[in-house]
Amino acid sequence: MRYMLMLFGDFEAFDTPPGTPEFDALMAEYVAFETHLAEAGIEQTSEQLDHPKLAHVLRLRNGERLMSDGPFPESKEHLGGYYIVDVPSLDEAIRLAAMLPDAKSGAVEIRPIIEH
Amino acid sequence: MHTTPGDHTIESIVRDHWGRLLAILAVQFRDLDFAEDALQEAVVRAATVWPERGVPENPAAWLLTTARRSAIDDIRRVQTLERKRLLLETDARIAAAESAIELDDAIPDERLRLIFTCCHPALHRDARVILTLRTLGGLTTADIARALLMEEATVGQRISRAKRKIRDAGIPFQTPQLADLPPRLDAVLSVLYLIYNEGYLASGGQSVDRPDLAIEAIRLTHILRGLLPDEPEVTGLLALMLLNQARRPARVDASGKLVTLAEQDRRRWDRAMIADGMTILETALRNRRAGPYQIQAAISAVHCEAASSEATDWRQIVGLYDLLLRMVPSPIVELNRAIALAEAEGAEIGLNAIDGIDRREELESYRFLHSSRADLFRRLDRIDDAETAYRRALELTENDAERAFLVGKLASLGGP
Repeated sequence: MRYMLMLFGDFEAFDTPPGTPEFDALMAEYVAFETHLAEAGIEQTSEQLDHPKLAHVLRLRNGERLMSDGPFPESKEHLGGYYIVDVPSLDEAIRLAAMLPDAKSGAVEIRPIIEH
Repeated sequence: MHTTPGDHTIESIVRDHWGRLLAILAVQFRDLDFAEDALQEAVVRAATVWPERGVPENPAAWLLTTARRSAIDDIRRVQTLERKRLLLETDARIAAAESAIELDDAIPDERLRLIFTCCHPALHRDARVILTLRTLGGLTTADIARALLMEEATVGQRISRAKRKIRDAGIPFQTPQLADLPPRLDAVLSVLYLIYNEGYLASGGQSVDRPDLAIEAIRLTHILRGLLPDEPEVTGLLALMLLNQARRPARVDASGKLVTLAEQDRRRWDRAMIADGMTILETALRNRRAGPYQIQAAISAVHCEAASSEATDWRQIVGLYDLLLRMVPSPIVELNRAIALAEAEGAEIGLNAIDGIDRREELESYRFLHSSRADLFRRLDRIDDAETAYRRALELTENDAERAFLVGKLASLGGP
């Protein structure tokens, strides 16, 4: 089954500037994660999202475009990226999610993907 | 030798084998709903065939074979896309099932996988309890509804929703990897203990004609211990249940009123069950890997060994609670420790300990906090405080036997 691991974090997670030791340490954890996936032969795709400050939200109401600047002020945790992994069951997906740094600093949402 | 069965025989045979057979089918077809339909079909067939031809020599094997045949027929028959998908997926498993039908001597035990599935942390806690009772315990939806004081339709909905989640979210029928075992086992044990406690002291209503969940929980924990003999906490939980259960006959008097531990007629405790519980607890402790259930069983054992409340080794109980607190800090454990402390060192010290409980506000709606305080106030002759506290406890109680108990306590305060 394929699962999307959605990585949520607070602003701080997005504000760590590249080039700092914190940033490098964080990146090393993702590299380790992806190395693990490669070694275990787990197929994956992933994307990283830019800062939530750059988000725009569109709603169409009665044909009218309502635009607002992101991020959603009411949410504390923002989607920062995702992995899609192909594993036999939810247990393996949970085990992988627990290896991600976001599980410690924020949250990882695990959702099965509907296969058509 | 074939014998002609009554409905009762069929029912008890089915219950004895239900969990085991369902586990095999669920693992084989990787769909709990589908597995249960097939097994149910086999049970229906048994109800017509067995009275005519007698109970087969190996009824479990008969049920399993019949269920598998029915499952295979079902997959072949259905035309919808959804089932076609299932057909493709299970083609290989059907082949395996067909060959298994021919050689059915040894029925494997797959219940461990099923229990980990039913108690998966991705399922809602109530759903875990209901699903475990249904799939492993073989209780019917109606039994569960009566036992948990729920609407039968609600129970049915919870079961089908949980089954759907197991299928759609890919919750596997497998035992967790070793690294994941401790937290996953904790989840299983807490479900069994929830079932036990729901039976031990029903949280609402009267205790008429309800299936005995406490006994069911003990049966399930026995099974789990057979499957995981080297896990001391499983053994510890079984000991805890038995040592509490042994004291159960004395908890209610002839008129159905609750009797406190101090006032219980200890001759009515089940000595044989206590001996069993003690032996099992010793086996667990020999592993030298103490855990919360073993400690709680040890506390229960200290009570079981004492001839009276006065003769109880309360200091040892306080010590055991200290140990428990280090493992699982919780205001409820602190409350229990404070109650033991009151017995060891006096009501005043006990009350101070209650007032000093960390995160005490979490206990404000907990009825035992108030009834315990009331009891200590009474001992200190602080009648007004006792009355207020008993009334607060009464407000928070839904169980009839417990209400009667508190009303009796209030009346006995007398007052001027």
